[in-house]
Amino acid sequence: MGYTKAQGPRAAVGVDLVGDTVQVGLTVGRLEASLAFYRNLLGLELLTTSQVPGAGTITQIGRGPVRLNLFSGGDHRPAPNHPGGVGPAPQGGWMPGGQFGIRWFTFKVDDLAGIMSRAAALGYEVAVPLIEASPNSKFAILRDPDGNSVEFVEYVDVTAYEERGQDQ
Amino acid sequence: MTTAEPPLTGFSRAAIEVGMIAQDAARLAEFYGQVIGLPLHYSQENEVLRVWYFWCGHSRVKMSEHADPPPHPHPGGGPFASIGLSWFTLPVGDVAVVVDRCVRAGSSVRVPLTETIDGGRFAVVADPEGNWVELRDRAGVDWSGARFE
Repeated sequence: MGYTKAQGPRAAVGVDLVGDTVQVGLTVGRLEASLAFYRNLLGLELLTTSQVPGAGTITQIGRGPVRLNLFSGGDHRPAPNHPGGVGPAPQGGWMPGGQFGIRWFTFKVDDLAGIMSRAAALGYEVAVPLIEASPNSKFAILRDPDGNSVEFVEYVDVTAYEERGQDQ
Repeated sequence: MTTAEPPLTGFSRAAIEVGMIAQDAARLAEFYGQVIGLPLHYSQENEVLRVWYFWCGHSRVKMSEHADPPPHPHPGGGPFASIGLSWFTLPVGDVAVVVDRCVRAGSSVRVPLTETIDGGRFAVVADPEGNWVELRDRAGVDWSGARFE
């Protein structure tokens, strides 16, 4: 058992960063379904597309600096996803996800209940229903059309969480 | 780091976080912390998992290792291997410097340093477990000049 004391996002960085967020890349099975999912839930809109030589197309969607890059291959046929992501297991403990690798991504939102209401109305799959993880945070995990784990977290005070780290 | 973005409706932070399931999370943590140079938010270890969370601006790169590991191996191959989450992009100012650090640490280069149509540069390296990490110096997504290795 151990815990390293948290430091905030303005801690000394050993690399020259030119942005405040990572972008996430997804290989999608049905581009239109993915576009609809992220537009309906988060208002992410199509920004640009780029051809990948000999492979397919990357469609970038986003709002502000929030960007997702969706790869769809023309004749390319990637293997199926192995759904399953991290999160509390129904029987207790913690689910490790279906396979090793990049397995989930997270949006920090200010109205998680609203997101979940929209997801329910649209019939989107809920992997982990809204959970009050602590007095300071709650989260839920949805599955996107390809079975990816999309986590949504709402903090009472996101700045305090950033400085404090995991609730102890 | 850039100046603060204006508030974005619906998000408490205009940032996405990405999470990896690792075979050896300590090895990944060394890569993202020591080689790339991202600052640690915190790390935690208990009976069922150990995690490291690193800052990238207001988002985080997260890695966890589980006592009960997942059943399927890493798909490898970045965006071409399987449906699902397949790569992520770090916004770095000097792509060449970071690629050089990664190569010196033993990483393989998947897309060498490439000029983009808007005058930027990007490259793709694989981290120690085969996750594709794109390094890009601006927000675009131009891959048109990419050569894959």
